[in-house]
Amino acid sequence: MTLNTAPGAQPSLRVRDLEFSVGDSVRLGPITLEAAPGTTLGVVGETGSGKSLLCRALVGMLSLSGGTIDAGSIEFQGEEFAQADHRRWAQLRRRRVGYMPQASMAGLNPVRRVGSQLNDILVGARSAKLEKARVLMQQVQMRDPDRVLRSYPHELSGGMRQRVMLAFALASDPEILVADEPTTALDATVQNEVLGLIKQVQKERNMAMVIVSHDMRVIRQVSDQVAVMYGGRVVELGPTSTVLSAPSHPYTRALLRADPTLAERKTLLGAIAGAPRPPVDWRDGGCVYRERCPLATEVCAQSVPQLRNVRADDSAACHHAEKVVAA
Amino acid sequence: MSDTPAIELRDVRYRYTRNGPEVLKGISLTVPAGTITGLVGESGSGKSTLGRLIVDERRPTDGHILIEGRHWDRNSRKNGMRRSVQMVFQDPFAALNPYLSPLAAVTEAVAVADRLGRAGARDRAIELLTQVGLSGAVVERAPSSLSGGQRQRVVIARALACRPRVLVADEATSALDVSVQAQILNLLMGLQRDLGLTILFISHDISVVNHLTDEVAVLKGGVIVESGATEQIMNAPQHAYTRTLLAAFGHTPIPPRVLPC
Amino acid sequence: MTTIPRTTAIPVAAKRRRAERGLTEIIVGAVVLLLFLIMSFLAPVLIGYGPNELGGPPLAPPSLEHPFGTDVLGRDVFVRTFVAVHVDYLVALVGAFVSLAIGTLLGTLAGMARRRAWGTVMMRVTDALIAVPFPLLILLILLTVGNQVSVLGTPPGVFQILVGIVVVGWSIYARLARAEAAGLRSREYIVAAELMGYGKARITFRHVMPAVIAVTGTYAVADAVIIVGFVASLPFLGAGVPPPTPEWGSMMYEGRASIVFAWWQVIFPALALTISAVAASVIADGLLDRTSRKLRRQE
Repeated sequence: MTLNTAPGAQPSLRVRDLEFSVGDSVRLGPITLEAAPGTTLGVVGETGSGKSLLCRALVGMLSLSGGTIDAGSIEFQGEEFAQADHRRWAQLRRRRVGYMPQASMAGLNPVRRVGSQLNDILVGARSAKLEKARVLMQQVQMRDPDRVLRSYPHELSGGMRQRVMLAFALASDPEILVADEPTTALDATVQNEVLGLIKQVQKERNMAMVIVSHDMRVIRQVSDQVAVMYGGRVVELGPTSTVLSAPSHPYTRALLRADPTLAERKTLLGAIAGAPRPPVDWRDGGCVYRERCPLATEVCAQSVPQLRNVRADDSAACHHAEKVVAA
Repeated sequence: MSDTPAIELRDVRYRYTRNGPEVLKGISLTVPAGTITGLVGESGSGKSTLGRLIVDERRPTDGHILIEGRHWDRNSRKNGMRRSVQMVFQDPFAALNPYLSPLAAVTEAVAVADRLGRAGARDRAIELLTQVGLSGAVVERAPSSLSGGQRQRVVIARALACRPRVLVADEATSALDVSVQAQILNLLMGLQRDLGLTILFISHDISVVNHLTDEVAVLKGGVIVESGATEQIMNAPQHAYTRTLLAAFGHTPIPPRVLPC
Repeated sequence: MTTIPRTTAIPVAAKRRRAERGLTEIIVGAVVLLLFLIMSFLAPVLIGYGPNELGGPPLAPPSLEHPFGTDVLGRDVFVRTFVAVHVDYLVALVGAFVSLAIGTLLGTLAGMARRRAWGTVMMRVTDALIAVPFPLLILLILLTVGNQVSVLGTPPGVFQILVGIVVVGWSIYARLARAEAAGLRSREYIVAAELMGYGKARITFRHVMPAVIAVTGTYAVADAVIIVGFVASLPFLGAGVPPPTPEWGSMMYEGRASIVFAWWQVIFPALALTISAVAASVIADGLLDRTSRKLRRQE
């Protein structure tokens, strides 16, 4: 399944059949997705879907969670990185991939000023770095760049810290930005501002973007394409407008039915029985979602559904996707 | 359904320390009995503090809190009113004693509430757990092996043991996944309908409040800026802040301007 | 906003393995200590001499007859080393656990008290006690009561030492307990208990205490190690268990003059002390691995 990449333009990020694992029992994948320059891929999933691990795998930081990449490829602008060593990954992160980790307080050193941390990331002569730092602060809409640079992380509000993290990620003029839950723990109004800022920056730089979130609203707001993850696999992949209004996978449909934003007031929401499944070994042969799926039949227990084209650009990993679309 | 409001707040003010800032600045609110009423605000609005004041017997710095028409203060414990207001907390992981299984925890609550021995309380405990959707082997497991949604159900069952008239849900579903949140919201709606409970649902999430509540009050900086029927407020907000909040939950991001720093 | 996104990035399986490793550690450590204990009764039988019997030539090097050699008076070092377990383990266990009991109780009560003043009083009292040098206190007690007195059938001097240890020792546990209890008071399940009308006693003893003991209990095992080392150092300060009772510290003290040519008098008690200390540490580690599972928030 291909995305609407402009002809001739190479996707900034291409992941093919990526399989990775943490320890003996947590296995994820195979995962296939793409992000083209100037577009945003949203990865949405609940707890245990593996989306955070995927995020880390994409920037070569899986080993920090004790995981390894087992198979498949991760290509940035055509260059293969799945089996790259730490040095190549570090180089990649320095030059071409911007990463916004989850939880800004954890991403910032609490005992150092913002400016001095930014200094570490930038390269060049001291005066050039200072100027670049100011420019970055302005790009993230800080009215008083010098004051922010002089501050310690705890002196800034949550929204400001996120913008600082964004600035750090942009410091290397990356081709692609990977953001892990960039707006959680923020008030809704601040969330919106940060997301608006991210979109604007993306447009200005024609960056590709991958945003991982559990919040459907965030994904809907900023993504062109969306990948829905469950139990360590991508179960649906397609344009946001299609997937989040007329999904082709039972899980996506169930998620939408459970969303109070979309439901009629005071009605019972379409809750899915049971709890989201963690990405334990899926290779027992069946579909990861079958235990909670109303459409599950025998074939769902026997063979793993592969991600396949169901309509135009929309792909789903389900044996009964057609029924979902028809409903 | 009686006309006495389940909760009535009369010019409630609160500060944590004698010379500290006022966190609640004269809150007056009526929560009709048998409804689900929402309290919406962002961080720092004072909504959690208000929730705590309502459940605790702690006295507000000024003003009065009435539960079902009776004054709510330190004497309430003696009047037996203590248990009529119970709370469902935001963090399901911290809300359960890690050493007690769901059955043990709820049995204890029933034993204390009904003044029964352990054995006598067990039956009702099982009944309550079934009412919240937990039955079978899961009720004897350690809390650490339960999911967030299951734990929240245990918290609710435990709260119900006291036969409360009012349930205060403080961000009760904010830490839960969407699909699990839906289960708990459905549960709350069902309980309100079946038991005639009054639920005060405190949340930052307007879309949940819009779906769940009959009445809503919007809190900002310790003051209620707007209150009334949920449908009305959501469709025709009067106050600028309410409008901002609603916009934030809409689908269009606010275009960035130079943001405060 | 207080929404916390959750990741299951750290698999549940790893946590389970850690808890199992904890159990292994506890068993390994316990087995070693148990072996010492068994040998403390078997050693005299195996060798054929008691700890205070002059069973051989003085300062004889290790041999088949006297595997650890003999000391300056001709007593068998093997037997003395293992019989010393009675005193050293007794003091360590009783010292640590009586301190634990008293400290945990008082600390928890102080932490749960309605008036915060109690907590402050506790802190100041324990501050003062911690400042007291243990050995001085013990010396004082020994001088007052006399170190030849035998209480409750224990070897002379042991009870006095224990009193000295406990009188000061409980304070650390009280501080730990108070801090833990005070911290728990705002934990949601304690708040819930209060809301549901549970009595203070029930909350303190059935809900707060278990969590407090998990912390102080683990500390107690590590403390036991420290106490043994401390007791062994007492003879060097003149406050030790009086002869002829075998005790590792005393043995090392008595043998220090002739350490160059009769090393066995010092080395074997030292080894016994070290191995016991390591075993106890391993148990403490294992307990930590197992209890941190319960106290930490789980996915």
